[in-house]
Amino acid sequence: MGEIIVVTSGKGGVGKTTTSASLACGFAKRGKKTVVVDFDIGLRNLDLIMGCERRVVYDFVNVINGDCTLKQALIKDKRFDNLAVLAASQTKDKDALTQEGVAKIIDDLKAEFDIVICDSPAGIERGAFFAMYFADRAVVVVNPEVSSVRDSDRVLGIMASKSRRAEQGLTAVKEHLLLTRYSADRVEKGDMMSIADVEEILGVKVIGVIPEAPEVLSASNSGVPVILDEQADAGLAYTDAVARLLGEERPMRFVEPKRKGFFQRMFGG
Amino acid sequence: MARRGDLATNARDGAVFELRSGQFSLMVLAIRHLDLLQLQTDLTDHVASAPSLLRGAPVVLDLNPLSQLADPGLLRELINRVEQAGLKVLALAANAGIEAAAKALGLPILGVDRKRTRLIDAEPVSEIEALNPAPEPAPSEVSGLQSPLVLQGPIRGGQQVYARGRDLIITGAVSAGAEVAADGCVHVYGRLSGKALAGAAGDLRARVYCLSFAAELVSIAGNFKVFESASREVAGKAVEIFLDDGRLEIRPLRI
Repeated sequence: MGEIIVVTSGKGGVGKTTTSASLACGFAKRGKKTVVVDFDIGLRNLDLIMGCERRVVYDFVNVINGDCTLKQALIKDKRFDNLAVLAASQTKDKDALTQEGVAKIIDDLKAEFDIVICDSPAGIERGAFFAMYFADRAVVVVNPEVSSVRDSDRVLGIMASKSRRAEQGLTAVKEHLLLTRYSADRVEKGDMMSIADVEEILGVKVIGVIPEAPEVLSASNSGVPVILDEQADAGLAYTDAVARLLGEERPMRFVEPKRKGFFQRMFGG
Repeated sequence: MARRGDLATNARDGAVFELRSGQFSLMVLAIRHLDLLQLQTDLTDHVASAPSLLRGAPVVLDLNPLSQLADPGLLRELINRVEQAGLKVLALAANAGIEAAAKALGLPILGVDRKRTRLIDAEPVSEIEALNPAPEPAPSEVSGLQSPLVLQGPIRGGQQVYARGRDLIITGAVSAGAEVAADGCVHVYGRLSGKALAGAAGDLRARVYCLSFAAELVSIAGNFKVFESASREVAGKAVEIFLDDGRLEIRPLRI
């Protein structure tokens, strides 16, 4: 039976979809049979970041409504045989989701795949609720700033009280923080919250720190998840996060300010 | 083999009962003027606004300004209305000229120190979003002692917890935007960044304890204080918060 991982945050624009896409590719690269599901019904984006937007025929809501089989709706990734994408509907809205419908899809995916990644929409409404409801583990994406931290706190609280695991009295959803858009320079200057600040407020350990970098945006625009860019710090940081999610120990990289050389200091870097 | 009746007796010394002293915090319902119909409607609404706090709650009826209520018939009618609104009249507050009526109705008279009572008008925490369904307080071995509500934290922003008629113990942090309330004391074994309300039913002796103080608001028996920023003396410290002559005092714990 596969493991369900929700990627969530509460706040929008913190990097949930970027993270979902990169984690999915990372797990696939490590040999795990992986599927990544877009729960942002009506505002789908995951297909773009994964670079399969022109191959979406059927979507999540079609499967719920019985218009097609789950197999027909799964889009096979061109880079990895063991990776699939289930796109969200662009024409319907989140009211199309029903508890039984979502449960059926999740259970079928769980039987078929090792890892099921649920890409949650922002907010705490229906789509976000269903994305987290079935989760075994949660990767809470948080930016090092106060509003993102507060929203993540709220989402962690909802997960602890309203998830299926909480309702059935099973062991709690395992929580991880993934800090994105992190700038070690700005932390050193005191403009940005540090890893320790965020961990202390939320009481959850950080599983990865993704540095703020221009490669992240260009990777998203070209439909190649940044984890596949082995030159980019952000890509390597995601690779480390995947390894840690698989239980390996990796030292945190890219969390210290870059020391500038003499010429850079003289002439600006 | 012991017969059933024997189980009720105290096994150790054979006594059928024992007397213990107990202290209780009770709500006092002070009737300002005599309009039975108005009283019943308003009181019913009030109870409906905070059912978890008020429904079936025992009250002491204070008829201080209403000398005409020495008439047992009128008093019986008044008590009927109060009970129909959902409260339970336990006793009458001591007042001159009330003894005969109390005797006629079979109600005890309690002395009430009016200076020590306070108005309950704060919005009571009625919605409870506990982490796990909170078990009903188990009847404790020692009679009259309610076991505390113990929750594993963190209590996150947006969550509310209310320990009715007992203490609340939280192992872990209380996040900013969370509310923890108890009729008894509130203990937070972690950082308190949210709101903490002790003595929610009016107990002036209730206290709040936490290992690291960063609260947004603390209230004891309705006397509250908002902290835009905590003073350096107590910020981040283990503190005890209590009422000193109606004023909220925060004192670092010397451990």
